[in-house]
Amino acid sequence: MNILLQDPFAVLKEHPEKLTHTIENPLRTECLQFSPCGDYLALGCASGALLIYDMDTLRPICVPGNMLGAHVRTITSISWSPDGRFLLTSSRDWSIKLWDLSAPSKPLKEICFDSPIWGCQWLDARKWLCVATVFEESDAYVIDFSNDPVASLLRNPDKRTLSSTSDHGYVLVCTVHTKHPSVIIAGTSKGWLDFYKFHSLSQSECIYSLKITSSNIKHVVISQDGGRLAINSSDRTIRQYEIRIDDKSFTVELNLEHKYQDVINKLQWNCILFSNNTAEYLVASTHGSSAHELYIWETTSGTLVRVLEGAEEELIDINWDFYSMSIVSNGFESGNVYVWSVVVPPKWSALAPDFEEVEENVDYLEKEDEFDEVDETEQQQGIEQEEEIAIDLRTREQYDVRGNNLLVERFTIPTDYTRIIKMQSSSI
Amino acid sequence: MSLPQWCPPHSNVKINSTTGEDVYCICKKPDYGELMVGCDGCDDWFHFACLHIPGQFKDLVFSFFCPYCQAGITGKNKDAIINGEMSLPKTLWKRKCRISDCYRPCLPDSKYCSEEHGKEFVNDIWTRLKTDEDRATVKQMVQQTEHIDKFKKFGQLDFINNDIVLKNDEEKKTFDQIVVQDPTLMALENDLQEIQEKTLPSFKKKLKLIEVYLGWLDNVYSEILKLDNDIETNGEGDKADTKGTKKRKKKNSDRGRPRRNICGYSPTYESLPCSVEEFVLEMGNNGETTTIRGVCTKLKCNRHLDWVSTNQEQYLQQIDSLESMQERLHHLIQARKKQLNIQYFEQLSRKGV
Repeated sequence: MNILLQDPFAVLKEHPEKLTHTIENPLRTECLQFSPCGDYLALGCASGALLIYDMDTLRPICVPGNMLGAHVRTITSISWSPDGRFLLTSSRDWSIKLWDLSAPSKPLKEICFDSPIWGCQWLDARKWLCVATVFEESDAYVIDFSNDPVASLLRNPDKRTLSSTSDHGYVLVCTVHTKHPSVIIAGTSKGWLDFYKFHSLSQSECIYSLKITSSNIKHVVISQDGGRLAINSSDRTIRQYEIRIDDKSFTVELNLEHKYQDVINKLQWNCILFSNNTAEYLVASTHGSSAHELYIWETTSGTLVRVLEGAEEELIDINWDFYSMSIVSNGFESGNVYVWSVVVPPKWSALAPDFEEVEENVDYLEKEDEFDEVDETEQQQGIEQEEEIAIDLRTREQYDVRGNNLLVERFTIPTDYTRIIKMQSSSI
Repeated sequence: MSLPQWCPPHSNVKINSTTGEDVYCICKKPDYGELMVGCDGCDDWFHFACLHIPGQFKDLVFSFFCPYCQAGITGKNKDAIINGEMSLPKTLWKRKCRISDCYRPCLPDSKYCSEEHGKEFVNDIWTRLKTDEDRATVKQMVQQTEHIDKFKKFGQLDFINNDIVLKNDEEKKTFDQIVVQDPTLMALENDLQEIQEKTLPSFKKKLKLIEVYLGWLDNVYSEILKLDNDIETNGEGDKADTKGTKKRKKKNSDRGRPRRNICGYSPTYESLPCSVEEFVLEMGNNGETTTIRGVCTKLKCNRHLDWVSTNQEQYLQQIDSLESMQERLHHLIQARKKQLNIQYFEQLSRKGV
């Protein structure tokens, strides 16, 4: 049903509530990522297989690398280009592969390191740049895929002076700032948060550094509007910061807003994620076989607003599609994917605005002017006037009811039956 | 299945209450000697006319079920059908003779009721062949096939024929135009060639190289172990610098099968760095460094953990998928060739007309 005709209070829910689907995946999902508009869901599996599911039918529609060059070890991260056509995957088999979904049978490009990859993310898909973090490396890598892939370390030219005072440990996670795409935030194994300004492959500078904790930083997430930052570290705490970066001088300002902890069980957090735009909500999965839920907090007040139940195992990775308002997460034991979404009850009376649904019988009260006789010519004039208003049928709306941009480019994965048809039709 | 429109609802009446006669069929009338058929489900009898079955079909009935049995109202297995254990029965017919106005059933393993009708049918086809040329072709086909079985299989044979005889230049030209120069076929053959000649051998070569390197590494391992044992027995030499490493190695060798003692990862394993002796000597001299000639010599290396099997599996998987791709390409090429050959023959016959 048309979303605008629905009950606005049902539609505008800002987080999903109910487990609606379970996608069974015998290959064991290890990480998952929605395409930018939520049309597809990419699953990285323990065997190294990459599956792309269509979210309308909940069926796999594409297996990149089915002809050649699939990963042979667990996929550790997936990153979609903003137009949804190019996909980056990193794996424990030491390689990062770039896939073009218009020709998914083999990787477009790949680069091999000499140790497992923690993760990779697009830095600038138009310039074919991405950042990657590699096992036991004290710096992140920036990879240029425009020609033959080249990797170079993301580090200060004078890093020596910086690190002489303190050892930052190995870089574990990297995130690109959403509003300043040249700013990369790296989290290290000794609890340091390093902000880099990327200029070119050979040149980048560390603009800010802060020791947040003394344990591993596991996740760094940043809100869509770039105003909030959350850090998940292995000291069982999620720290939420307000972040401000000056447009010109690139000075960084961080203010701690909230700390989220499991006070009772003292559980670690597996994965964290912000909701869209200004990040009103934060969702996290918990570590340990006893916890099977996702927790959603309201970020301004820091209160727990919802616990997503229904999965019967520990949940690992989380992803959130803001267009259809659904959250997916993969189970640790079965490797299945759980989908929570907003269930909107169909409200057909919305199609006829005069109609009203009533719960029980109501005595009808005639309104004062309801059956008044109206002068016909006047009425006719009114109708004509209404008809004269030109209705714009062509301009597309820019935002949906939840404030998601609708005008972004969407790539549709082609179906591979064209060749069969071509062969059949040419013989006729 | 429900009852057909013309069929009245079922009634159990078997005897007309006024006349006392036995009644049958859906019309509940006595037997006046019309053509009737017995139902295999309820053992009642039915008029052909009442069931709208043409009388000529009387020899073709194989097993008959009345509308009530077919709808599951009556019948021997009614209960099983209701429970879903059996499906509804259906009337089965024998195959009719191919001569259009003959309604007798076929002989076993035949399409005709009798040999005469078979001959009649084929004769009919023969008389319908208009030109002498057609007749000559058929004659030739019959005479040239050695065996009747092969003749029967005509039409099922593939048109993939790599040795089509091209009689003259014109035929060759058409053949080239349609088959040889087909872009799809060319692309497919190119793909196959590339896999067969370039991609697949290169992966096989890589796999072999890694095995060669592993062999070299094994030699290094045994050399190192031997050296350590020598040190142990002699109780002298540069014991001081290798003490830590030696102890660990000793433990490994005690377990029977020597375990990998150094990591051994080298980014350039395609070529062996140097001879075994040279390497071990250099390793003994540089106790502190973790890489010698590009080879990682860490004893406990998390970083390159599992590198051998990762690489090997990667190549094996590539080879595997390439081989299945090769097979798929073979099938595609065959299919394409078949289509093109048919096109070619069609073109030829059109030109002949």
